[in-house]
Amino acid sequence: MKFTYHSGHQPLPGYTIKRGIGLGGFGEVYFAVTDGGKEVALKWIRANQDIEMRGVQQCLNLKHPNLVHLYDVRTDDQGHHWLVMEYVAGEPLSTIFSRHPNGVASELAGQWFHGLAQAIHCLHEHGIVHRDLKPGNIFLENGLIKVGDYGLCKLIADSQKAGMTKDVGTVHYMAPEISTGNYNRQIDVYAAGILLYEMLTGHVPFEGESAGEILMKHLTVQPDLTRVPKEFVPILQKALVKNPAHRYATIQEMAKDVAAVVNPNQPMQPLPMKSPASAPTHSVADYPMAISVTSTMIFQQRWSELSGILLWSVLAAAILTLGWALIFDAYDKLPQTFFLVLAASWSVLIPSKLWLPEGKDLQEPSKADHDSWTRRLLHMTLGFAVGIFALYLDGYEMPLPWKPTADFEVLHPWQANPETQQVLSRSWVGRMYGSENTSMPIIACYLSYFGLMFLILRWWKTTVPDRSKRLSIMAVLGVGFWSYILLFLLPSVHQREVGFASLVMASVVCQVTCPWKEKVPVRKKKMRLATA
Amino acid sequence: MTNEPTAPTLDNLHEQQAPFALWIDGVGGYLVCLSHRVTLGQALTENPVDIALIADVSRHHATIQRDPEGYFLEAVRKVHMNGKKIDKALLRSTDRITLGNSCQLQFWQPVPVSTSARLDIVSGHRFAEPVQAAILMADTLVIGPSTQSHIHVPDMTQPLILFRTKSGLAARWPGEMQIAGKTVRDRGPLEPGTTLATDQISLALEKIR
Amino acid sequence: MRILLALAGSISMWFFCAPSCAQPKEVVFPKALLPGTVTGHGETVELAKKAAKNKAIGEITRGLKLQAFVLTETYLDKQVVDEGQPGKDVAVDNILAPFKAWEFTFRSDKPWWTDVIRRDHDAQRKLRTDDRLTWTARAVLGLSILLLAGVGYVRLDEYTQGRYTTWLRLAGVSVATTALAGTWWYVVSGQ
Repeated sequence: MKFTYHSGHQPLPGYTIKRGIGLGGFGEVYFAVTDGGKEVALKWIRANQDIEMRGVQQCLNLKHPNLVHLYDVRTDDQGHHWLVMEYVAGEPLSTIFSRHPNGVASELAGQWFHGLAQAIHCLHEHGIVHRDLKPGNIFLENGLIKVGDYGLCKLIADSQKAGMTKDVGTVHYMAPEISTGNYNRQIDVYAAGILLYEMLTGHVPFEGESAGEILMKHLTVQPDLTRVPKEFVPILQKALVKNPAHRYATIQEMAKDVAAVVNPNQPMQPLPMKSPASAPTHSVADYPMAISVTSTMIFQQRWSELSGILLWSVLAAAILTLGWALIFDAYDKLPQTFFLVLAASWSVLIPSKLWLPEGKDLQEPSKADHDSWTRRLLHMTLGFAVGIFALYLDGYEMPLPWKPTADFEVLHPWQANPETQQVLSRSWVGRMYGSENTSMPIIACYLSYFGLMFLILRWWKTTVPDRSKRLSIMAVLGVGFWSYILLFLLPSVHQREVGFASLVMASVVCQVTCPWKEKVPVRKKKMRLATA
Repeated sequence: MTNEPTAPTLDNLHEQQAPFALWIDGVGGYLVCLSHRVTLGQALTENPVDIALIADVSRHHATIQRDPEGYFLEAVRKVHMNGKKIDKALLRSTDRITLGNSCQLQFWQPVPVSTSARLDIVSGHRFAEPVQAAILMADTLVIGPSTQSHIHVPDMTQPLILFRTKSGLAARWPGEMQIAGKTVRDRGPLEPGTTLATDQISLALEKIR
Repeated sequence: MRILLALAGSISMWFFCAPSCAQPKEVVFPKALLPGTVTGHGETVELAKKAAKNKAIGEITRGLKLQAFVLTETYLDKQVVDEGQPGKDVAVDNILAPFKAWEFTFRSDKPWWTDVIRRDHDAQRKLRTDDRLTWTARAVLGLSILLLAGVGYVRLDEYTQGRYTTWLRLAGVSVATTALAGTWWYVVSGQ
């Protein structure tokens, strides 16, 4: 961390900086002591327009035990704006979450949520939408929740506009309707729901490798509530619903439900803040966050992931086939096998990356099975294409209508392999299947072998990121087994060896190149102490 | 009171051994006590205890003495250690010290090879200085990524070590660092009032009182 | 379920293809394409035999329109022709000794010509395979360069945090164009 000011500096008269605390999205935060001895946090706001300070000024006189208090806004000699705030000695929830990767006990979560809800309620009652609720903004000081960074939303919106892809952290808490630009205080309810989920499980419900992916999940995927204690499930369902009209209308309602779950015997006191009927409700629509998930963005993101995978698959296929050829001394079959491995693995990789499971299946693609047959049929079609490609590589003259037919008989792929002497091969495939398939037309041999291999097995399962192992030997063995069963279909020993080896290696290539996320085992929660 | 200077040389020594504040950017503030004998008591304007506490404790409530055998806690007023009332006791890492009725501190020796220790308040009270913890520095003070550091900074890749020299303090860091604006390599002298910055950490030493 | 499906699939495939795949029919000696016998001439019997064999190979290659398979004399002896018999010597002017002749009759007891044709098909297939492998290699190479340009652009853009987007795009597009042009050139020049 590089801070502009160091211990002992006095950017504002009367305030002596002791140390830097952190670098936020919109400036540096320092710990400072006033001449009188008051400890404060100084936030150097790197924004020049006075108009942007209005949001802060609106919040300056808010008083609530669960809010980080703002003391003053000052301007130094150089025209920099400084926000003087209460110094919170505790830790941000982000630090606490990282210490509790499986979440905290529901009693504690309920207690924290109560504080959070009170703070949000206070903001909402004053017509302020926080818009950037996240663990880094919420502190725990002596067991008391303190919400900070409110009133700076406009600045945050701008900083995110500039660097959306870099600042992935905040998109985890972003309500789906933010992408439409038309939203209200219920985005805070949604964020509070995500925070409650994270308190209970240690994870945010929607994780991903890029901002686009996460935003997409916010828009389309139902959160997986199986890891949440079951009494919280209806609350989170209602808080995380995509349509704000079906969400909790106020944070109070949600807090009441949470309190009822945590302390079923003693109903929680209603939140103390009474709403003044005439509280001005500031529209936030004039500060739309310019984040919209467009289909081009999703397409770009998937496309870039896919091209990376395809590129790796070329390398993986090359290494594997080379190794295979070295071991089995099959150099004559090497190029053919390499291209078939590539064709087979691409016909698995491309559809499984472009046709992602939708809805809640996106969360756990490995469990998605209801469109299994559609996928199988798609794969079978691609298997046919691979078969045709194998036929092409084997040098069969394609009987295309625009090609002049030969005067004399040409071995068309729809004739069977003419009977020849039994070929004895020293490879085991050859020994097992010494006799050649002379009863089926050659094209049928190829199509049925590759088509069935793709139909029988659920190839896409080996590409989902939440598969149990990166490289499952069982999956490879499965391919080997079925391939062996169907091997009689291929016309000759040479083609059998190539066909068998290429599909087995394609299965390895698919698994090796597809990104994989290790599953965090869900452990039983124990009561954990609040960290002071 | 306890370290009444008796000779000019000792006065000099006392000056050297005065506690200082260590401010580490992005991490926290620490009160570093160099003396082998450290007093604990209430924070009052004209009260020269080494570790001043804003708590319901006496002006001079207890003393921690570093001997070759280890740290001894000597009670001046009511002191409990791990729930037992004591007058004098040997401190071990993770021992809990209760001064008076409520102010509770935890004693740590996180680095096995270093005798330096750390005192954290666990009862929600505060030090007079706005610091997180007090550090009783013997010979070395380890600031590093390992949990076996006096000050744990997860983002670092290698530890920064502060150590005593004949004339004062020095820092050791494998690489370049800026001490008071000057670039030095590997090691350099430090004194209260200077700043130190490496590519991974920046800190300042401040003379107090 | 999967097993049933597999069986059903393969059987249906069989039926589906059955009408168009009659078994190879009994082939009679293709008189229209090949002469019954070939005669070779030479100064000695040995040379005459050799000439006759060469002639037979030529007849077969022409008659059966072989394109890739090269008949060897051994194959000829073993499969195609009978023992042969001496033919009429041919007297040539100015040469003292007459030319010897040797006559081979193509065997018609077993369909060796289908075997020759099959071997020619196999050899043709082999040639085409080599040709097609070269094509595919070029296509895969071109595709890999395209992918590399795309992925490299995205990764570098991320790495430089969007500071050189325009330059990277230009570089990416030029690499891609070069790859495409290279592939195209290969296609054209290879034709």
